[in-house]
Amino acid sequence: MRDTRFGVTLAFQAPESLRALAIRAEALGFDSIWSGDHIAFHNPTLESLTTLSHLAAITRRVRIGTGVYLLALRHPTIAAKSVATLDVLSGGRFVFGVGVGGEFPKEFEAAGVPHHERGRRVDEAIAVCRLLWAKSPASFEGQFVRFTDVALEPKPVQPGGPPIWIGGRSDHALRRAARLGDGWVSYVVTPERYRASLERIHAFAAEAGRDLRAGRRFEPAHLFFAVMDDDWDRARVQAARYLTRQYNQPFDELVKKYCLLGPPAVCLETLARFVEAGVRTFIIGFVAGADRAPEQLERFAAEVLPHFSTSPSPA
Amino acid sequence: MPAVRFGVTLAFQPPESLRALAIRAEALGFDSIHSRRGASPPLRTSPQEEVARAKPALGALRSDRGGTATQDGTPDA
Repeated sequence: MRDTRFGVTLAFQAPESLRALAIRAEALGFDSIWSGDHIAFHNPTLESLTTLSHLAAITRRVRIGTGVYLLALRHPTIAAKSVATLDVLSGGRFVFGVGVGGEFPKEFEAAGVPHHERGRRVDEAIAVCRLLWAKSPASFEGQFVRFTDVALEPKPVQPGGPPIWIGGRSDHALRRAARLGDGWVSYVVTPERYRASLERIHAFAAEAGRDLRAGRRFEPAHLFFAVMDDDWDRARVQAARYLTRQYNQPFDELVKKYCLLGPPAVCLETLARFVEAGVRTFIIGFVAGADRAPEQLERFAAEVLPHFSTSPSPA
Repeated sequence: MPAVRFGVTLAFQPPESLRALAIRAEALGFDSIHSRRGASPPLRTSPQEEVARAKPALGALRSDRGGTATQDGTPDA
């Protein structure tokens, strides 16, 4: 299948396992490595930029990305500095996936950020980041952040800063992707909804006077929870057990609709429907459990990746 | 001499040099590796000594109150 890239998102686990998976993913031909992001959640998580900085040091080719970073929880200038640093240390391999979050209000309370302000804060923070990545000295007068003549150096390796991919499924998220994004990352959607959402993004962009087919390439991505197993029902049970625990809500029915499950042939059919709907980058989260992650990675690389042609990641 | 430890602080440089220095420092027996603080404070010889005001280049970070800065950068009352 044409022009499709695959990344893998790595869940919390022992550092040596994390490193081994990242090195192996690069060797197996995955295009990118991702980290989710929470300050506090239902279960343990590592801080995303710190984790990715660690993995950037032991990889050379793969892109590294946040899928997605809860930008409202951080001061925008600090986030801009951390991201610029990570882009420099990784040699310009960083993709800044950004989301609003909100399903775990306690982390907003802990960060001192009013939950209801998170969308506006993300919009402003994106503007702050892009300004500081591109201009020295820079001045900004916003609702939440104000500064004059601040030079953030060194600049990111990628001109103007890393691409920003907006995460989310709501209309707010789609509008944000249309206005501000270099890409969009969905999750927990059907191929039909993916196609419709992508069309809405293009329509919102047109409303805002932006042509997503011009200039820097706009990347449609999808975060896909997956269990590869010759027995589809066993895959379903494993995915449901894992995701129910991770999100603290029942996933028994949801996994049937939204996950990549079963033998390779079935997975290929599912992936093909999403490619047809417009996906160009898949971010695969293996949810069979940490002990099966190496086997899942190997199997996916051996039985799925060869069916796709890939091209270099968009800058 | 009593037990003394030595660390090395690494300044901004290309990532490959940074990695090489860190790996070499560990191999050579240094005890720790540090990231240097971003801004050097104005130096002084005693806690009572006044230090120069922050330079305009620090922009919005400078105190507009005209006070002096302590070594850790907080304005004196």
